Amino acid sequence: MTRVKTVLTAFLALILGVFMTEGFLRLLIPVETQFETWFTPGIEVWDETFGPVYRSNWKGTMRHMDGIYRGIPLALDENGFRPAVRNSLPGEPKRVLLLGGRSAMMSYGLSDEASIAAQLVKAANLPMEAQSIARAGGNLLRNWNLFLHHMSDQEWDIVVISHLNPYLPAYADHSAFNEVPPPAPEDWAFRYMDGILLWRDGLFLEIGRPAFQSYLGYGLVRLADSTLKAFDRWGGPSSESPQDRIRDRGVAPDPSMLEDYRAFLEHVEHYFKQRDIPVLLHFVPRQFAEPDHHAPFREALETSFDVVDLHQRLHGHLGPDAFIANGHYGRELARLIGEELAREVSLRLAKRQSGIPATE
Amino acid sequence: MLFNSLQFLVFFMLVAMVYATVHRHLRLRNGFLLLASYGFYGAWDWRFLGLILISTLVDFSISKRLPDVAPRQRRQLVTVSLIVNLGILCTFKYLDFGIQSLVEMASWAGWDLDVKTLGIILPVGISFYTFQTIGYTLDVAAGRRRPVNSLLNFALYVAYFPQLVAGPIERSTALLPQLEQVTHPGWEEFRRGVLWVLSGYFFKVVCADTIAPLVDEAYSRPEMIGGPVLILATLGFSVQIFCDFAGYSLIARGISEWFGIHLMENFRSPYVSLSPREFWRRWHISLSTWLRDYLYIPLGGSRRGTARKCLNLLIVFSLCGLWHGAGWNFILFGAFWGVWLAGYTIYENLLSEYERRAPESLPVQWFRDKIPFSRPMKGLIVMVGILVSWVFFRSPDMRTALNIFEAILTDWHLDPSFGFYARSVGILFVLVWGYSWLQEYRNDQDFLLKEPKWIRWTLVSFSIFCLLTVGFRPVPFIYFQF
Repeated sequence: MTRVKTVLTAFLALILGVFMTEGFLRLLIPVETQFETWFTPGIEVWDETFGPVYRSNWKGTMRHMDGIYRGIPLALDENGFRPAVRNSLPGEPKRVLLLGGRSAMMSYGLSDEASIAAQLVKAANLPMEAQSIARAGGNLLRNWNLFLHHMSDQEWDIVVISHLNPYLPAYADHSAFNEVPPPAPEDWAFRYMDGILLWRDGLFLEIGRPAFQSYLGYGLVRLADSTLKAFDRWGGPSSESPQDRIRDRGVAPDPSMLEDYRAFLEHVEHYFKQRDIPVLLHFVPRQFAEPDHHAPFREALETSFDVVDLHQRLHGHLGPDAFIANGHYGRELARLIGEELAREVSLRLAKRQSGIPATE
Repeated sequence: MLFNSLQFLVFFMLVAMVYATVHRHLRLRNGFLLLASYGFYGAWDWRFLGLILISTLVDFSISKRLPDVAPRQRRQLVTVSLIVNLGILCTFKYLDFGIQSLVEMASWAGWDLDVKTLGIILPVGISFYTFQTIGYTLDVAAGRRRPVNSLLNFALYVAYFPQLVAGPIERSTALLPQLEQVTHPGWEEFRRGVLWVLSGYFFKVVCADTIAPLVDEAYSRPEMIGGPVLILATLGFSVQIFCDFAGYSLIARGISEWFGIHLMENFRSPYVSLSPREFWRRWHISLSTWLRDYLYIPLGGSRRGTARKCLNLLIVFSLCGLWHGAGWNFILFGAFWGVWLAGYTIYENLLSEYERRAPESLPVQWFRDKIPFSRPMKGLIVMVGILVSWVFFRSPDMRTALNIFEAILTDWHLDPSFGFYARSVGILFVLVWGYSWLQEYRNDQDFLLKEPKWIRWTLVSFSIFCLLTVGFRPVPFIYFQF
């Protein structure tokens, strides 16, 4: 009898513990913090043609547990990009396309007025309009395909390509450079479900939405996921591919991959050069990275392309305060990047106007 | 090695397994615990084990000679011990601060000093074990205890891993006798250990680490976030620092309890205090009693009149602030408490004097019993004072502290994040305060052990589920930096 009572007490304690945990933590921790959402739910949808895309005309907030609890409003345009910004200088504006980059170049965590595009046009001394089509979790090839789909019919005066984490496997298939959409599913680093970031692998991706229905369930899945990954790391070679390792570090890429990437950049440059539009390739600032972080790529590409290494140039300004929310640029750093880009862009536009080739 | 890391879990399980086999043999047990303690500390940075060894050897050899020498020589030996211990502490903790302050003061005076700081790394826990060894030497010099004969036992006393990096600062009279005999931890010690370890982890992981990002964000941009949120963030910090530090102390005590070695209580429901004096009797008890016994009383304590007592309080608490960190904000934190305690002493004296002369007078009754000096109001006043002191403590520098006070006093715009802060801070504050109040009401810090089985088991399952849900993040304990 005592044993039965003990078992029943233990069972009751377990059940009560579950409910108390769920109730207490739901009261204590906002949903955004618990699930580490990056956006209010609904920004991203799975498109049969394009894979994960942002909704047209979506309105919500960017909110990240690292540093922007307050929630920064975000409104997307009809193509699912941050709207173009222009300065108020009189005259026909020069149109700048900011192509590539990921959430950092999308100015994640910054208001429209503080974004890199806004800072660029603000610092420009001529009428200018800038459109960034960077998206969190994207890559240059995906960005390029979105450009072809949405904006290829528009007039541009200069294109600024951002080099950040080139996801090299994406460029292996040269025939895909003009495909819309790009080959799926390898070309996305992560996607959002209800504003929650999902990596390409792991239990959360397999389970999907049910894993996020309860705080306790989420905690247990996270524990199981990290345990499985730890076993995976112990049990054999790392599940992280060589491409993944290159993606996040400044190490020299495999020569054949680099050639694929170069071929892609040449393809893009050729597209714009045909239309007499100068192309500038810039290496974006990274948190926790040495000044020569981009050197392996920069040295390999600067002979063929018009290159600016903003990471190296702004390295003195990349202290901890320069970043918000998981390595994204703060207002001051966005201003510096905008000013540097404005200077480089203005220089090239002036050369273009005077008939001097941009690469000289 | 953090208590809240997988590395520590593996380390502790190995230590516990070996301990179970060696705990009946004193030398073997102490030798093993010393090895484990050095391993624990060395996992952070083995080079700084040298400093612990220097402290250990110097105080062991000096204290051995103390009982046999004349008073004058004894004073000289104690001075040598103080110079070595405080010399190490000052070099590693305060030298860069001293250089920087000198350069800044010279700059104000119009001199341009070209002196660079040395970028010295602060060894974890240096303030704790330094005070512990100094306390031992002073105890021996004062005849409060005999010197230890075994270097092994003394080395373990200095480096005992559960309390090595963030206290409690143990007294030689309490800890050393336990290290000099075999202990037999039983069922009661196990139960108490479970309560303390679980509640310690709950405080640290579920409460402190959850509220920390909110506090960090508010304190990183006080000029933007507005007064109401800054007040909530400061209240949040009061929860964070209590849960962080009391959490560490509870884990340390719980682990030690499983070894059969009792560590002193370091916190006793500090936020239910009704006076500043009471707060320091409840907050970081091992430090406040250390300062009382080895600094305040030798300075004269309260024996030389009110003015001298106030001066002593100011000195002791300014040094208490400096102990916490090498920065003017910490000195001001300590000085604030010194001034408040001195003011409170004067107020108490005046009230006693008036009460003696006219015990039935209305002002006396009013001040003693009525609103606004009733218990809740006293508690509220003390809490406000505590929050003011936490602003100095939490701010990275004096400029930020002043910005925060300015924002609280002048900027009353309601930031969109107010709801976020109000909800999380409110719930945690009610939880911490309510638990403290229950401990006081039941007059038992471990009252949960006496609750019916179903309540205890429910709370255990609740704590474990909460820990699993929130997840262990390698967030260091705040007091590691001291």
